[in-house]
Amino acid sequence: MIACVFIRDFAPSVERLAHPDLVGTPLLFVRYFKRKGKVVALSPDARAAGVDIGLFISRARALCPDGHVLPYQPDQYQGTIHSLLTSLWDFTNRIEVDRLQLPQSALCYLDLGRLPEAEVVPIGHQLMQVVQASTGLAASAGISVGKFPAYLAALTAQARQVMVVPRDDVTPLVAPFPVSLLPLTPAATRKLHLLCIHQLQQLAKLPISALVAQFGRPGRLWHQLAHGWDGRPVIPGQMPTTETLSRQFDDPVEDQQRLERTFQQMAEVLASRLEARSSAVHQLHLTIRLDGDKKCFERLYLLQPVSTVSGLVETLMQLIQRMTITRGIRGIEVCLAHRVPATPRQLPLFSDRSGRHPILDLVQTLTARYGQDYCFQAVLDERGSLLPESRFHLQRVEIS
Amino acid sequence: VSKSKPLQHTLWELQRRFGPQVVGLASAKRSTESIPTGFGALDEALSECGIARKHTTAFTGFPTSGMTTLALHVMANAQKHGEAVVYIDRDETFDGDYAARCGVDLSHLLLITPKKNALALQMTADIVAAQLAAVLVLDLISHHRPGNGQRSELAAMLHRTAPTLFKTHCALLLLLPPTADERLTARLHTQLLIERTAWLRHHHDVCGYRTQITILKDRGGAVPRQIELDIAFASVVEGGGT
Repeated sequence: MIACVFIRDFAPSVERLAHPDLVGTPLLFVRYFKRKGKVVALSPDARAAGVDIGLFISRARALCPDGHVLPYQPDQYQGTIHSLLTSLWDFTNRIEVDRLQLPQSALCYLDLGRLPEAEVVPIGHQLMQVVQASTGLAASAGISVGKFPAYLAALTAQARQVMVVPRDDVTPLVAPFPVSLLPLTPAATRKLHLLCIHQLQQLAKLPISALVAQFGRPGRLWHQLAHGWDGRPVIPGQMPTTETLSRQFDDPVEDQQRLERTFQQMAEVLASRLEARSSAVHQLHLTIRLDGDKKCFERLYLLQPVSTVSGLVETLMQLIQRMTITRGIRGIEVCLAHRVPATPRQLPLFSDRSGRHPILDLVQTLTARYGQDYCFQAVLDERGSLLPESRFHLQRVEIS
Repeated sequence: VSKSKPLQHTLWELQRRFGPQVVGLASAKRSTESIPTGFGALDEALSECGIARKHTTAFTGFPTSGMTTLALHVMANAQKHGEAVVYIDRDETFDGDYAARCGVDLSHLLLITPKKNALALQMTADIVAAQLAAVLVLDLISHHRPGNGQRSELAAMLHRTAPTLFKTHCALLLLLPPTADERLTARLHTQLLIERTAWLRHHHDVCGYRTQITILKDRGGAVPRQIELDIAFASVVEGGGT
């Protein structure tokens, strides 16, 4: 199954999240080519005013005089994309980001492998929750057998909703959508327009040989997509090689116990991230920001990679002991680098007692050796009673 | 200073090549392999920040000094992680109601009442060997008389059990009367002397007691010191260090 996570109006949403005063103002994101500005992303209210992607800035301003023009800086949104990917990598490491959709919208395809039908919807809702938690943006998700039907399902679903399209329902779903959603070239778009082919169902009715004759090899793909058949695989991007976590303090930390607690909490977060990626790290970088904007930096290369909480805490303590801390600590940043796959470990196949409490095994062991006269369990009767003997009684533990 | 710099450089070089765990100061070692007592002041004073797992800890003192309360708190903290706890009640003085008020989940507590000391020691060794319990309390407060040879049996059992105990995650707690037996104290990782110093009163009623804990021994390297705790007989037993 392929899941498609779709965030509408990505750049305007991120900008409004960072600057709430821009809410209600039409936003136009402009990229300059040879000193001429072109609109690359816009908010829905700007679109309602008639502006579209690709218009020159002068034309866009004429259509939407109230629009707030912002220069598009790709680096500004990389942090949000990174947070989005970091949260999605907990589900699978096969994630493809459709860079062509940026910055107007963010589109990610996740290869979820084979999933039982009962698990599909819960996973979709979990996807929505983690996207909301990591980026603060509302997304919609579509889950289907291919990338294209999953994308159309995500387009159809409302924000924070999941739409699952089974294999049999793919063709009816795809049929009414416009052909412009296909990966067409401008020449092909124009040719289809001249042929009065506007919807995918019209394209699907054509013989495949005619499309191949007109458009060549891409025609075959478009014909398949028009039927909802999409065999294109998810092409995963590279996972980040570093993990970074930082903490800031309102009041400077001067207490060692508080510092150790912070290290413990940070190590737990980092260890959970490493566990989710099945990896360990060779390098730890620790940056401490002291009161007065002074910074201390130390790093350590480990011959044996670490991935556990205790190992990370111990290494961080070693690193901070190398520093000369003369003032209160304002901020901590931990960066884990040189990530490698974690060493395989033995699964608890034989020690797993399927949720059985160890006390029962202990009773069984003791009963076999000493009989049933010694093992008891205290059971409360009348709590707060004036008679101590009526407050509880001992009950012999028996193994059935 | 001139001598310590090359040493420091060597240490860093060793850590760089083989990882930070290979060298370190013994005094700086703070293991996470411990169970908190629930009393912050006591946890801070102990080298392991709580009761050390894989080792034997003795609470020594006279009855009503707070040993059992402390042991019940340790058991309750271990149960928070779903671990099994066992109480060997040689004295048959276990109070289920008080244990529940200390936070112990009675449904997951195994109470063992052996009739003889030798049987209690044998069961202790077996429970340690089973590697299933996280906290094992051996309550011998009233059944140890000085000079009758029982301490040597206890010391021998601890000697036999120590290698097995070190392989487990079990904390073995002994509740004993005050002792100066060297054969016994040599087997202990931590020894606390617990003494009741005063009763706490609210109007004319006794509402708790103040107890003084002296760390007689701590192999982890804590400086010997004394802590005072106030233990209140409320619906929920509370204690705060001073």
